[in-house]
Amino acid sequence: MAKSNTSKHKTVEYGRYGYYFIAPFFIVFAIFQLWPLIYTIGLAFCENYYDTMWNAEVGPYFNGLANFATIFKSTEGTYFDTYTFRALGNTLIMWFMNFAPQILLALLLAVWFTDTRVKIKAQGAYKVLVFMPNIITAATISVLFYKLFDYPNGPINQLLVNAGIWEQPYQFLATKWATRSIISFINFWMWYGNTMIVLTAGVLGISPSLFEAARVDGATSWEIFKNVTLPLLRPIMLFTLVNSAIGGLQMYDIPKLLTTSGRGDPDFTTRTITMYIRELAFTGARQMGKAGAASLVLFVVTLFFSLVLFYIMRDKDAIKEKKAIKAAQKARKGAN
Amino acid sequence: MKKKLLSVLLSSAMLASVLVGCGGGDGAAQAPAADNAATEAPAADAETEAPAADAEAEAPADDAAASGDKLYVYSWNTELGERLELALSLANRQDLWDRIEYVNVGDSGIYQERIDQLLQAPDAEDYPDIIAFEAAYIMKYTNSDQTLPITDLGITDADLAEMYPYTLTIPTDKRNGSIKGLSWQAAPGAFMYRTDLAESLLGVKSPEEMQAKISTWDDFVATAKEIKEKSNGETKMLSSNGDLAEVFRSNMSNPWVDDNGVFRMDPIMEQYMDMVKTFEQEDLSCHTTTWSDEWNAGPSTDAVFGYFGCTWFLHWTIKANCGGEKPGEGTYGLWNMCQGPMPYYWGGTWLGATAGCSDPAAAGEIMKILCCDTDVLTEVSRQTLDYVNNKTAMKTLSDAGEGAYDFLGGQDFIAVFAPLAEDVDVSFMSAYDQTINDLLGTQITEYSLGNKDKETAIADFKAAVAEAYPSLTIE
Repeated sequence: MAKSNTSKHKTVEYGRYGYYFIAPFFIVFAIFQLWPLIYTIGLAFCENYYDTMWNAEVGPYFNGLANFATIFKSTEGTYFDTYTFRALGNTLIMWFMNFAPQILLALLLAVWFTDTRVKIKAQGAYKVLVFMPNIITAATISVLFYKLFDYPNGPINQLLVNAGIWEQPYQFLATKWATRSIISFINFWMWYGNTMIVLTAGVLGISPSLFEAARVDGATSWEIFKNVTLPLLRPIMLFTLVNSAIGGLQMYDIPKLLTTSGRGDPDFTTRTITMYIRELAFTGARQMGKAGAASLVLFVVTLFFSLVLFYIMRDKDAIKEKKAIKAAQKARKGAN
Repeated sequence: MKKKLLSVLLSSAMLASVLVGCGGGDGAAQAPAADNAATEAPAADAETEAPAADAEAEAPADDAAASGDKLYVYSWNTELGERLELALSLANRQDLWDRIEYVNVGDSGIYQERIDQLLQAPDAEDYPDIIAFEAAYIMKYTNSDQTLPITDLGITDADLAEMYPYTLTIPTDKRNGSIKGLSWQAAPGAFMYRTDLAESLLGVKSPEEMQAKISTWDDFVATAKEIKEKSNGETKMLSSNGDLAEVFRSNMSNPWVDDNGVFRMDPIMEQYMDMVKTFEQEDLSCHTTTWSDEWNAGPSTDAVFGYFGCTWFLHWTIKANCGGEKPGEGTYGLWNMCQGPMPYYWGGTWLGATAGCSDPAAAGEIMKILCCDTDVLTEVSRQTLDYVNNKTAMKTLSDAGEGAYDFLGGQDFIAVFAPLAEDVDVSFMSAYDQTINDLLGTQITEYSLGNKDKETAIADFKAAVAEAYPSLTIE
């Protein structure tokens, strides 16, 4: 009797230790993420800014959806023609411009590095080289590119003018698409190594016997890629896409540091949504309320893109199979 | 091992970003409570500490020990720290210098943000006691309850007699007329140009002749064209188009935002837009960006003819970048100054004590020594060549012939600046200046490059101002 009691007691003890170990995370999370999150949602429905003239805080007073109205509707009354949506548009454009080539190159490299027939020598060295840009801080890379594309006497301009390709130096960082391209390129260059490593892990997770079987059946490399690698890579692809969409929508450091004013030169065309939110909240009239509302819009957009990606990448065969099983079960029941 | 190191790094970076991210939200929540506490505290402090200040001559050590905690002084570069150290050592107040914890934020671009955050936490160890302000945003703080009137610091009107009036107009609280900050420097502006280039390209031999060539903006542009032509494009009038900005800003007849919160664009700023466009399209400047590395390199080469600069600009910018330290080295000694097309004034640094200042009496003493003491300021000016905010000090030095400056080839810089300092008119200033000027800069770039016409640029500028300050009425 006594024995069984103590043993019972012991199991309970062990369980408690588990909670102790995970407690720090939840405490930190609650204080530093959960509460600010809830607070931000609250602020989004409040008027809260600083009157610069007297440097005095106004609010927070509840003002319903007024913040959202200024985000969705311009002063002239047209919808979506606001700084918020322009910033969101810039973010999406620059994200797409870096992500499309990034995933293609990463996929190609991942397949090459894992292919047992294409035996690349010094694979380790290549992987290090490819991953290297990711280790350098974004700030360093931004300053580097800022100097490279400087006008009128940056290295790139000097090279192009001295080589006789252009007569005049070109104002890269004062031109909308040139600046966007540079930012996209930096992001692409920094992150394709990371994506490649994730995809390589995904490909290595596919059973080698499947590749061998396909090869025995006489499939070409392209056919193996299309019909074996890609379908089995789907969960990893989904992870990469969603991860990149979230990261891309929060793009901040490169465009912030690459432009002289830090406001997304030229003319706010490289200002991302997070840069915009930060400017609202901490510069000018420090509009915490509107910044909170813009953050909520960003949240909804991120959620939307994630859900769309989940929907597109869903396993259609598995769903079909499930349906078929259900149908079969129903049919059996009906027969019974 | 490497992986472990990397994971530790990554996790600490993550934690850091989490910590940073939450700062804004929490700060906003605490702000109202902080304001109340801050406004109540100083009144009591000032009364109890004022007698102690009178007794400081006998027992400075005791005084320091009694309230012996650190005084946090915030600025954005090393200049104020160097001046404070010099002034306090000249006044034999090493004990005060020992108490000062000088914090150099390092970047005037983020300075306002940093100060705003610090002011929201009056109980923090590093809460500022004395803050340095630039002209472009000082009004935001002096018009608020976050700074103390200098009368609370034991500074009387008699201490201010030697100051240039405009340096007191700027830090005056618009609500009740009390003065909230002091400056040790005056900053009237002039056009600084290369004498050797002026002679070889324009045949100009004296500052008076030079002034005649640039006395109006039309003359200025004509001379700029002449310089470009005669030097075959090797030398340009200005380094950056932005160098024109301060001159035009100082000549606005109204501030960007008046006391009723109405935003107006002064017609002279349209003239400024056109001037920048002329310089850009006609290739009359080196197309650099003000304060960039290339711009800083300008004074040491023959690529730039001149700069619009003021008192501190002469020492801290042109002299520091001229590529030499005595006549014959670099362009040292090859510079002169003249008034230029318009009188103007540029910047300067003010000191103010915060509402929650731990020791207003000591803060007052420090400000008094650096900004009001004629003997100290005369010596500061003699040693550093600062144009100090003290008429007697500058007159003493000029009369003694100490204004003749070898960097300017012997020209008396005090004699040039003195009449300009008397005439400075600062009615163009408002608390919104820095942000609004930045926003205008963005649109002027677009306009000068020909990407937008003037109407669109102005409309976009106004829209951006409305976005940054929703409570303003835009006209």
